[in-house]
Amino acid sequence: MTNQQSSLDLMFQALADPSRRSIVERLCAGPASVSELAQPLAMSLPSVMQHLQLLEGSGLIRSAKVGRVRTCRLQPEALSAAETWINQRRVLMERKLDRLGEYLRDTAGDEH
Amino acid sequence: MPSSVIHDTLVLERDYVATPARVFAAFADPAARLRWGPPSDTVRMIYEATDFRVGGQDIAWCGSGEALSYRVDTRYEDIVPDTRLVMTETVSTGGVRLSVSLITITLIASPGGTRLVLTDQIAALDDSDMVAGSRVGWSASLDNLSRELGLAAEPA
Repeated sequence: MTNQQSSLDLMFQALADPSRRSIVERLCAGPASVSELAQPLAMSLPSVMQHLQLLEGSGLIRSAKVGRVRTCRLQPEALSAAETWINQRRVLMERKLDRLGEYLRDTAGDEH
Repeated sequence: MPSSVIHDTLVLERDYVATPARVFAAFADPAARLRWGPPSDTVRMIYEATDFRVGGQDIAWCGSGEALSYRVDTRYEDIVPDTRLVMTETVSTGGVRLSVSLITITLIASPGGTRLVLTDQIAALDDSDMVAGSRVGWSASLDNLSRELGLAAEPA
């Protein structure tokens, strides 16, 4: 198996899990600490760490520890600019629809 | 590196406790859009032009901080009040087009209020200016993989 193929397999494996996909989506919005990434996931911290190790092994993310805080960030070289943009857009559209919900709640008393 | 385009379709759904008329009004009114449109409190948005009618075009600028560096051009292709919106949306920054989207919004009355379905069919543009020379992108990787597996036609 060539170097190219094995790194591709790792990338596909990394993105084949919904929790790992949600981690990648979160990192599209910027770097985050391990605890930030773990918060929305319904799993133990060791499980989160396993996911992060796999993602780091695939080259999709990298992490650095400063003091007691480990911060993860997306490796932009792993995805083309267009793919990164599509991921960012997904996050953006989800947030917009969330804010539409808040707006509708806030204006529920208004009459048109 | 040559330019390329990648397509993707996002389908997002929400249930809102509001009538379809109220949800539609939130899209039709630019002032309302300014309130819920920016994805977070740190993102600012202004309108240079608005024209909510079939064939009408909006120009919006948004971004965080002082410089509103993203330009969003929207053209309304189909408007059915309280029911459906179809628009094209082009996002660009610094004169470089990032994507062109076909966005469809449907509103369906439900017992709880309104079910909204947003479909965003994106053409994400990988402009040569945006792609670093030594970057390994998905498209290049998949091309190589296809060739290795003998699945692709001979490259031109």
